[in-house]
Amino acid sequence: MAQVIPVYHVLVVSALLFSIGLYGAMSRRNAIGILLSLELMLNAGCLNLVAFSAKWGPTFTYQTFRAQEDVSSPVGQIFVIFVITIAACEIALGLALIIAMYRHHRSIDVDNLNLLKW
Amino acid sequence: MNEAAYITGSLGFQLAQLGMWIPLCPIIACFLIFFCQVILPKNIRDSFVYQTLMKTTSILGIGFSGIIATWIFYHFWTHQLPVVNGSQVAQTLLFSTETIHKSWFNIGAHEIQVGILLDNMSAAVVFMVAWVAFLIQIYSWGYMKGEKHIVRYYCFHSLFAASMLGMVLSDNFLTFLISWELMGLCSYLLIGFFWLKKSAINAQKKAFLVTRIGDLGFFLGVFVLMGIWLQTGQPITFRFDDFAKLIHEYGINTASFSEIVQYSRQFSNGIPMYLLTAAALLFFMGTIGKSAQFPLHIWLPDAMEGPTPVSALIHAATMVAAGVYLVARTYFVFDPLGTGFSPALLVVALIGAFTAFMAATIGVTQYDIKRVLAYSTISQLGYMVMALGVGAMGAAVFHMTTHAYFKALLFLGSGAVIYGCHHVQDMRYMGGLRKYMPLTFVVFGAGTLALMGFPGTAGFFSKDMIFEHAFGAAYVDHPELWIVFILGITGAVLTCFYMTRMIFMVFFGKNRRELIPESERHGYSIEEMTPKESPAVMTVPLIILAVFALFFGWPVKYGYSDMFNSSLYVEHHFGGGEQTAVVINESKPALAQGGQRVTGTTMDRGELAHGHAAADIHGSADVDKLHDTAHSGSHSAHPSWIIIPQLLALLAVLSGIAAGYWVFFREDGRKMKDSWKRQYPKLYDIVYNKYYCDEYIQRYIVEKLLVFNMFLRAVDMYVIDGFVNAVASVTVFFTRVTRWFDQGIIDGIVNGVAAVIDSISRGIKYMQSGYVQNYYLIIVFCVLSYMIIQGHTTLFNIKAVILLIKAQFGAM
Repeated sequence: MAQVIPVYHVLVVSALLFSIGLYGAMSRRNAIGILLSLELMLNAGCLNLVAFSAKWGPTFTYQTFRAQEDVSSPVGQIFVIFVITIAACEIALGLALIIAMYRHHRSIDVDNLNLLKW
Repeated sequence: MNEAAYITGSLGFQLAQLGMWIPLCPIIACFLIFFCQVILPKNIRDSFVYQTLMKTTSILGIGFSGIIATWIFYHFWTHQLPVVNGSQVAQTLLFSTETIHKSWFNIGAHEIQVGILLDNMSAAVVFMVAWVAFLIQIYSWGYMKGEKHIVRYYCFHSLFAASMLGMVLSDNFLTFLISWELMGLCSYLLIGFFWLKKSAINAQKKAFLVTRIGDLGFFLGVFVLMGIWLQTGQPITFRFDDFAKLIHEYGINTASFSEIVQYSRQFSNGIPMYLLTAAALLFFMGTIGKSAQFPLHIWLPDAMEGPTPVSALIHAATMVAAGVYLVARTYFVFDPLGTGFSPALLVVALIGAFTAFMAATIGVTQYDIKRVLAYSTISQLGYMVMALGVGAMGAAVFHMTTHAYFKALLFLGSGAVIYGCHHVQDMRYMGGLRKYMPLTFVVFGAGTLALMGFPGTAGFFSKDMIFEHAFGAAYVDHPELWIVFILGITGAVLTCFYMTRMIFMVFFGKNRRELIPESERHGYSIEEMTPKESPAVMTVPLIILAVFALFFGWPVKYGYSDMFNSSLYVEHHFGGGEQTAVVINESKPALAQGGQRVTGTTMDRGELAHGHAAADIHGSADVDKLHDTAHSGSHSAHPSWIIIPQLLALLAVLSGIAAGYWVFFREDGRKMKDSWKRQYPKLYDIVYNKYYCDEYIQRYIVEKLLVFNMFLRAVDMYVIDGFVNAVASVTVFFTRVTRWFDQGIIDGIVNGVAAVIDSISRGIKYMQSGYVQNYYLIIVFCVLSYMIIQGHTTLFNIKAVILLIKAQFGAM
């Protein structure tokens, strides 16, 4: 049986991915960069979902010709597909906002958008 | 009084309900005119059509009440109503269960009821008042022609008549007092009708203030009766018949003041006589003021400043009759024992007789035609009051009625004379007017004869009745009343004397209009001052009044003479009967068990006796029978001495006329008069100046009062005002303190809170930087902080995570 990657390794990768996204979201001035970072964080979460689903999620018995094999159900993966779909919409919305911002400011630097303050 | 009079649907109830409209008609007219005057613009108010319309409204109002009064008078005259205590009665309560509410209003347990009381007296008096006021209003149409404020005049005139009618019909002290005061107000307004004349304004003030003095007494008298009522413990009502019943039920305690105070404070032995005497004398103060009796008669001659029809109204129908009517209405207080004699009545008789005599003497010397009549009114009022004082209440009201007819006639006649002479009032400038105004002369002569009491005229019968009673009272029981009778007879002689003088000066001799000084000609020349006869609108009322003045006495004398009597629980005992003495320590003294009474000199006495005998009979069928028996009884029982006062009165009339004729018509008499005048200048001067009554009152009362007023003013200014100002400054001081507290502390707290919040927010507002990543940082920081603080228990156990990771990597 092939060696299964332990779920903790996936979690560590996911945590790293999230941290990169967090750093990017907080440090980038470019609005598109921020959107990309947000996407990274979202995908980190998706990775977690897949990992948890594979480890602790429901299983079902897969009957082959010769033998019987317990297989984890792909619930996490399916959920992640939904999340990616929604995220695509969200990105489209974000990009539309960025276009509007560019038309107004001739720039997509978020530091120019500081009018709403004290 | 009697339940029979109250029965719904009975004749008495219907008549009383109808009687309510007698005062209401003129008062509605008055209000209508008033509102038109207030609402409409000036050009409409000045228009002829409007003025005619308003005058017609007023006359119609009083005319309607006259018709209703006649209808009621007819029922009383024909004896169709139940008899209670010798008088027919029709009563109704206003605001009763049939109309709105049980009573007028309530004060605690005391239920105040008002209503209409129609008895013989009030039915006769409303008949007189309504028609005399009606005729005077018709007359005013001509007399006041061209007067600019004629509508106002008619408005007040209606109100005046309405208040008198309301007073006559009221069955309680409250509405009586209200109407009484309203009449004072109306007399004030009408006497000062020519308000541009200074003398008119003074006269109106004088009339109002002098009558107010009497009104105060009346008011206090009501209080005394209230006190008596409270002492008995019964719920108070203000109604006359309730009072009369109370006095009747509790009886009278004739013990002296000190005895009562010593032995019986409660009324278990009857109501103390001295309290009733006090109440009666206080009521009589009201009469002295309103009816112009001796000390307070000074306002009446000055009231001549008003228009002549107003004088006629005041002197005949409304104002001065009210005082006499008050005593007649509250006779149960004046004469509670029913003997026709009491200490209060003695005072009444003396004042009345003195006034009758004194005013007659003044009347002899006056020159103003209206002033002579004014003093003759005072004198005649003195006769009425005298009649009340000698126990002849019916005779007093009878004389009041006849006097109203002939005095209205005389005043309106003098108005016609004044109108004819172009507003000259001094008799020295008249003379010979019978050629210029024959009709006025005839009716004026009729009025004069009635006033003199010439045999056959109305004045003769009423005056004769008064003299008979005065004589009887003096002759039979009370010798102190001789002075009253003698003063009365002397006054009658003087009355004839001055009326002859007046007739002579006005209507006989040569016309003296060329003597009129330039200042009194009102811009006319002597030729234009030629006297003229009045128009028909003035003469027709005069003729009607003359008919009444001449013939009104006959049906009363030989018909139903008790018409003018109303005895609210007073049982009269006239003549030689034993007095109903009520002894102390007797719980319910029996008034009705008085002595045998001699049937009276005139019919009203006899009627009364039979009325009592058959007091239980209610119903028209029985009343007729009662009346017949009473009638026959009354005629058969004249005492033999009755001829003496009749002859004396006749003698007085004839001697007065003869003396007047001799002194004024004959040359030698005139010479003698002038020589007497020269011989006794002082006496003449005193009488001519009205005994200096005005001057004495001015000097010893009014001026003293003014000094006292100065003192009161000082008290007012320095004590009362000082107190008020002190209170004000203390209040201001405390207000300053509270203001400081309010502004410093309360506002300080509120503002302080606001300032703290303001300064804090000034510091922390820079957190709102506007940079999106700052906000993001703060969110991350907050979430992480929350995780770290709360993490070890629930959400994120970081230690467990580290342990897990170590274990995993360790296991690899």
